[in-house]
Amino acid sequence: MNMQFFQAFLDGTLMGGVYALAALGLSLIFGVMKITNFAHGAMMTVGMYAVYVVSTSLGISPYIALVFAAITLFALGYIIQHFLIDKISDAPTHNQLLLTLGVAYILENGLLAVFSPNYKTLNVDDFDGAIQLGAISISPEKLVAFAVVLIVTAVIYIVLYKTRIGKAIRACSQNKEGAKLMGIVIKKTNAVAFGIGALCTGIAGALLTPILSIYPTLGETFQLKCFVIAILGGMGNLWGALISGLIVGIVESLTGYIAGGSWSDLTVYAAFILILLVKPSGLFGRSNRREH
Amino acid sequence: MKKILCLVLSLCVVAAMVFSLTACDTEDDSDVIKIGSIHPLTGSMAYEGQAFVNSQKIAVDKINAEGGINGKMLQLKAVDSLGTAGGAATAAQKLINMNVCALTGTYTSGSAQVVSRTAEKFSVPFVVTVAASETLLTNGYKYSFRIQPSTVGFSSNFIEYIPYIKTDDMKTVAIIYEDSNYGTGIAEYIKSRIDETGLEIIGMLPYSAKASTLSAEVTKLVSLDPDILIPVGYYSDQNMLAKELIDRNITFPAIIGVANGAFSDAKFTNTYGTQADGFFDINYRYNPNSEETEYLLREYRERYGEEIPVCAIYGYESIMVIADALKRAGTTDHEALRNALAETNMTEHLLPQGAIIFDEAGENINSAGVLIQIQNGKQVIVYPKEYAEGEIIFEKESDS
Repeated sequence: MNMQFFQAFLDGTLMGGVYALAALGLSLIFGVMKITNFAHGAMMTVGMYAVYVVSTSLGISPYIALVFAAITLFALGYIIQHFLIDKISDAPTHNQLLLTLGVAYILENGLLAVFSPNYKTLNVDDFDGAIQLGAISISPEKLVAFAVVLIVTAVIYIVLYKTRIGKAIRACSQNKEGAKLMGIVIKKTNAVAFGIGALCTGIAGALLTPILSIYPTLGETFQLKCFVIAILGGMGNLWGALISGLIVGIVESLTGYIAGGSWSDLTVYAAFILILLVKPSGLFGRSNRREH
Repeated sequence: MKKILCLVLSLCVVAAMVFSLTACDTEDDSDVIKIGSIHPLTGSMAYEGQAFVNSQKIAVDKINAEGGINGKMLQLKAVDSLGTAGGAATAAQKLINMNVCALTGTYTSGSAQVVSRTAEKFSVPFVVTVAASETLLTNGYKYSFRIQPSTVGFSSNFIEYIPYIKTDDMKTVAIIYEDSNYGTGIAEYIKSRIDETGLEIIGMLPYSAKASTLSAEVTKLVSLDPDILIPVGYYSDQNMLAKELIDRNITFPAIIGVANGAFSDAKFTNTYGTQADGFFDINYRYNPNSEETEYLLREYRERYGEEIPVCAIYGYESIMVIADALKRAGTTDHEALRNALAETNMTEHLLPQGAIIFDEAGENINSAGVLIQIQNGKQVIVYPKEYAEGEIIFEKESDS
């Protein structure tokens, strides 16, 4: 294995981590509410702009501004679930789906109206070029992003498995009626779960802000990628989303290195379809169909 | 009751919106000459789209301040193309219904194809602001005109300018390009004529402009190690490429963009400062010696608080070309205006080229790109000589 191949592998892993975090949010939202959040990409862009605004106006590092983005997105997610989606929770699934699509358009066009379509680039003063390890160079932005992804994932895991609200969220995702009978307030639990899902994608967006030029419709690129990763990992399966994110990142990068970037999407989606044909519930999805 | 209230309220909102929209168009317009503008005002290309409209407004205001066209005021009607062919078709239709004297647009080649077809069908003159596709004007249409160089124009500029950049030890070339019509068109054309330059292509690396990272492609470039790298793409993807190269401290003897969406943009140099010194780009540009250029740059900065994106100079120039034709035609009649456009011979303009003259197909025969190099964190025209703002600097100064 030559060094360049390893470099491509490493880059793919690091980017894959960020994809994974965004997809994890989508997967969590689906797992609990059973709705597909079409506003996920747009929420990610909101996270990017939150970091951009806080970082440039206060003159602080984007990695501190990330905390603001996380809080903003949690609040945004909570509000969307509490005031919008919850109101039509009895409506057919496709109506809920269209509602999230509407939210996506409102967010994107809101950003367009406020920030103009101009590209924004955030310079990170914290770093001075890439870290060189022999023939391998590592982007510090991506390395930090990956580390943050691991930390956030660990925290979410702890929240879901060790805290009261986490247990409530898991209970809701397993059996809504049962959870209700146990005295869990579904409405609040759903809103918190949506908030956490939004927070994940917001942090992923925040981590990408120093890497990309941002513009209001940037999230569209990631929306589909998140779907693929979440489905591949088994909708609602957090570890599945994490591992699938890494897989997609690595496949994308290695294809780019070996065959050229034009083939990346093709390879990723071809692999996606193949995996679904063999295992319709995704790589890590449970195959039993409980509810529907 | 609640439902009825909801229904009534939402109907009110819709009615208000519709009314406010139509209200804009019902003004008395016998004294104005309307020019249609079709650009992406929403979506990922909205930044450039808006810039075209901004610069067109500056042109319209300038003409009106000088007394308009034969006593009549110009009015710009801008409609969003949504960046799609379908959106552009609807926009063209809408503008024709508004009775515009001519159409301008569209930034993307796909949209331009559709608009030129619609323009032909309704016999309305269409002046392309920017759309580089070489096949755009090959349908024998009579109503479409293009001021800027096509992809072939830029690519042949590359072949023409390369002797001034190339040193004897430069032998190999790699092209990294976005994989739509525009990037592929340029890459394939250069490939087809590379023998004339004595260079050899060792790598063709297409990528999707929507890619979220170009790390793998850059890694591939490192292993190819070409003497000359030719990057072709839009702003955000090429910005990503440059960042990767700069951060990883990867250099090649020459980096020469062709119609590069980022390298010629003021935002790019604002971001990287002197770190991008040495980068070349063959692109459209304003004539730095023209007073009109100075006016447009200053006016844009004052009105919109930022530097004009270079592509938008064609927005300004498209209005000037139409105004020139309108004056000569003395009427807004489509046929007469079309004939006046075809006879254009404009020497007063802000482009780095000779007179604007259209050939049979509607192409500007003197259109040309210039060779730009980033020096001390600024884009400097280094060739052709008559427009040069400085000399080519061969040794890339150390970043650190």
